[in-house]
Amino acid sequence: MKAKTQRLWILIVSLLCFVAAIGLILSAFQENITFFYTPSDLKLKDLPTTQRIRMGGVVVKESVQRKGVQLTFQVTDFKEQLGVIFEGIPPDLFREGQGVVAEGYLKEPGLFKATTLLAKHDENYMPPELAQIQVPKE
Amino acid sequence: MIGMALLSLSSFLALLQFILPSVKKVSGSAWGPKLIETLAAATAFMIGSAFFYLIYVFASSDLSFLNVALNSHSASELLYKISGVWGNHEGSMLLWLVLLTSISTVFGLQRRVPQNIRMRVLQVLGAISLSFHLFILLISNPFVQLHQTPKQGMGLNPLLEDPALTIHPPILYTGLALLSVLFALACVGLQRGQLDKAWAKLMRTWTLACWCFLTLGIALGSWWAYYELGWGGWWFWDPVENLSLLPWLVITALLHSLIVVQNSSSQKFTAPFLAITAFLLALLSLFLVRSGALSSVHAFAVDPLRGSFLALIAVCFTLYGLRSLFRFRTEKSFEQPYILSREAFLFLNTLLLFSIAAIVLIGTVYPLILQITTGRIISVGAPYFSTTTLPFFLMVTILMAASPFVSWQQARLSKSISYVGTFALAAFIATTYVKTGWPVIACLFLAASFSIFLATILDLARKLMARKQIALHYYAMSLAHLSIAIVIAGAVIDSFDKIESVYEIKQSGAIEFNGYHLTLDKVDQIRAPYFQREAAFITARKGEASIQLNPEKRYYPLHEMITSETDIKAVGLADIYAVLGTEDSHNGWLLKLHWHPAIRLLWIGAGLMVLAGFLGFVASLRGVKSE
Repeated sequence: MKAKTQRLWILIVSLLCFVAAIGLILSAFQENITFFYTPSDLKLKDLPTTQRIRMGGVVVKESVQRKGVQLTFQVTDFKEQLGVIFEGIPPDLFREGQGVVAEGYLKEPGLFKATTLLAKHDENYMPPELAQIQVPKE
Repeated sequence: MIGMALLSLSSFLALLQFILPSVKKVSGSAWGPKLIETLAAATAFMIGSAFFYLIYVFASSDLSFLNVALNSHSASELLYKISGVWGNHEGSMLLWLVLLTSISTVFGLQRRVPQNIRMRVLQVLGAISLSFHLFILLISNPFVQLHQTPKQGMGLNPLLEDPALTIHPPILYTGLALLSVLFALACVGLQRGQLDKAWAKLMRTWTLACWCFLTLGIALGSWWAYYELGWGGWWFWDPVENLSLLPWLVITALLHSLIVVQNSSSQKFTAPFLAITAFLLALLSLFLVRSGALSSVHAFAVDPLRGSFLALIAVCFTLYGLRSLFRFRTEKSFEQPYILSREAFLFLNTLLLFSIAAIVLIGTVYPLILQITTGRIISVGAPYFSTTTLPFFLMVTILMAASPFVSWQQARLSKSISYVGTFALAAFIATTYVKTGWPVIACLFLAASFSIFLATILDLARKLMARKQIALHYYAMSLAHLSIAIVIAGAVIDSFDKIESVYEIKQSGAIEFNGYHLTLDKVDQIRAPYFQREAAFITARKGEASIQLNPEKRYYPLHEMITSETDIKAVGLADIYAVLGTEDSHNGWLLKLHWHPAIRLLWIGAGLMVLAGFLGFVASLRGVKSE
């Protein structure tokens, strides 16, 4: 085969690969990105219950209740509150008065169904999502 | 004082190692190269002494050092006092420098490498080592002393007190230090226009060493996440995991593209390009992780100054790497590969692996870019990564299954490929029948895994029957492909067949899980010197067999932190996995149980991959001529 045809093939295959990658990335970005909201954001928005989102704030003190394997609690950004239900074992660092990020969907206005809870890794570390939440000084 | 003195001295030596090769009087002389090698060894010795001094300070819990006070506790075990040295930002940077300089020294001792090449490579390594010396001296000093000695240290993050995490950083850093050698070799090769077979052979030895360490490092991290974090997964597409995967993907591509350079001297640009990219990706990861831009266990204290300095280092080496790449000139005698030849397959493989790396990189940094530019916070998780990378991975596995049946420089496929093709189709149809709940992609992957297995075994058998002498590197390659097939099978089965349930169980209560009858015999409160433990005693019975499970919760008063210790017991290739939750006085304990039907395949496969890499390394040292 001639060098020119050969080079053409290499170019075509590389381009195809590139186009496929870009196409996949763009379509995945359309469907698979999870946006982050605070309880105040959610108060203003009307989100479809099918959309997966992340929601975060501080766990309201004395709001955590367990019924069977179901956990309910309130999350606040010190402006608005939102109820959360979760089934399973929360992460070890999940605690009242601490930051939490929940992934899931808005089941009904004022109630968030969490499928995953993310808490901090250690006592010095705060998830960057929560940096925007102003914790009032006591 | 001692620490600072050693660090300053070794910085000076690194400076000499960087500058002297450019001085004509030195590089031109007979003793020049020897001097540079000695300097590399002396730097390693000095920085090694500083490191051992830091270990001594940690082991003796000398709390007058800020770093010890922040990351160590006098009551913890000696092992974790020592691993505390690299369980923090400053110490881990020192460890990285120790490994980089030691590896430079080893490279300086390679007598079979021509002397002037050795000197040039040591110069580039000297530049890398100098920049990190400056980083440590100026803004990341592990030897800062306190005016007042505190009574007790803060202790290491309990999540890091773990044997796998004790060796995970040194192994991963060794891999990264070896990446620097690949970078230096690529730049020097480009500048001298010597990308010949000897270069490829040398490159291959170092790439294989690097590949082994990166594979082992990533596997250890994954294993740790599996048993320690209690989520029951082994890969989370966490930003830092992704970043560690990037150089691995790129040097896997490099390994394959070097075979082409060695055998047919085509695709000469690809290999140095990949080597340079892999190192730059590692620098980028270091910057992203240590500047605190990403949220992760690996993100230690956040300091913008550190981020800027690391960004500066990354920019400098990117410019240097680009300058070297622009030196590349195509040679006239450019042998052209045929379509369907082995070269073409290997080229496609490089292209696919590189695309996967690009996709993963984009998914990892996109949220950061979006946050900086628009302020929107998003997260990109597993769904993005699986929809985008899996088609590419699948194509790589198909190439792997077909690879034994193509030949060099000929557009000819061996006849046996039709057997493997038919088998693959049959395996796919059988899988869709047996696993009705599985998505198509999972069935495709399982079929591909079986096909790789069959193709590789068939090829080895054919060679053995023909009484051909099989080179060691050929066994290494076959084992590597087999182990990847094992990893794929384990990963696919675990992803789609695992069972996960949460129960509430009272003392001496019983539950049914996946055919097992489990009873909670008791929960004991045990006081350990450094933490308090609540250990559950669970018996799981199935027929005659009985398994004891003892998941624990640990409370670390010092950190006010609770950690869960999962308990995992093997049943054949499967794991039964238990996590203890919190107690509620009315309802009893929360207990999470997982059944991982073939998870052991994953760890066995990863172990075999490292073994295969090691065999390949030995083969390349022996200088066995490739087929």
